Amino acid sequence: MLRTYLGRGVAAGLLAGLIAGVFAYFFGEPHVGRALALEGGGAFNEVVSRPVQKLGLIVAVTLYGTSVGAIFGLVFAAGRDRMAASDDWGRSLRLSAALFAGLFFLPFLKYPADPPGAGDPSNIGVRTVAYLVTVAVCVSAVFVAWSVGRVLREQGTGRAARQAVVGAGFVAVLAGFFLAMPPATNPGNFPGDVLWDFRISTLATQALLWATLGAAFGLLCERANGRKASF
Amino acid sequence: MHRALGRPNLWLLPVVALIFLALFAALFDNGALLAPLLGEAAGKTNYLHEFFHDGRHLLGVPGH
Ligand SMILES: [Zn+2]
Repeated sequence: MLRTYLGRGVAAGLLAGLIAGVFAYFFGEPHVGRALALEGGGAFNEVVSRPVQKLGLIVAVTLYGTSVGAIFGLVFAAGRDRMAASDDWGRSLRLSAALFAGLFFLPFLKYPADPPGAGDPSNIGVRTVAYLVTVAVCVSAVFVAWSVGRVLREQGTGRAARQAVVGAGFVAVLAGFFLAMPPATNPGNFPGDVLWDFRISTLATQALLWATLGAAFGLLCERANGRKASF
Repeated sequence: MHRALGRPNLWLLPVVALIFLALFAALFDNGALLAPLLGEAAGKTNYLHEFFHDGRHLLGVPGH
């Protein structure tokens, strides 16, 4: 089954990446263009032209979607029996929400995406490491909270008490971690409207990708389950 | 996941390596991957960074 879920994850991720990539081309790319215009020119160097970079955007999001889709399939195979949802559709949506939160949304709260020109090139290495550490901690926190919730459920703890305790612990741990990490880049005088529009389009691109991935994977599982059931 | 097939899934190793290689190429590479092909020019031209540039910004990865 591991191979089957991996295949479904790759297929769902490819579709999700393509859809999110085309979305980003139409709704995110214009804000990248505005940011580059503020900088007074095109890319860093001239090896790749702007039209090719815009195509590269779709390729990048598709490659990202396919890769996280493969991870999704493997994690789904490993954790399927432990998830409380009553069907694969529910399990798939929950897993995509968990991975969206851990891999993107929670790190985004600490280190929101920067359009070209709003970041600081001098400390890109430090910021990249800080970002990766944050992704690792956030995704771990999500899965630890999920597991603790499951253990408490199996011990018979009521739903309200369980979710309140796990939720409070989760928020406390992440708040402490966020406070301990270096602050995000100060955008200085970077125009706020461009920054806002860019960040919202980043959030929308990622949300669309993970929603599509979860839904497509869930549908593939339900279709296969339905076929099996009808024999 | 190993329990499901009753033996270690060794084929997983190259699959996982490929997944992380793809993510690294799309999100983080700054010339290292093409250095065996292009030598010193790989860092200066930085093809993968430039090609995936807008995607990196819009996926939320730290950039310039
Ligand atoms: Zn940039």
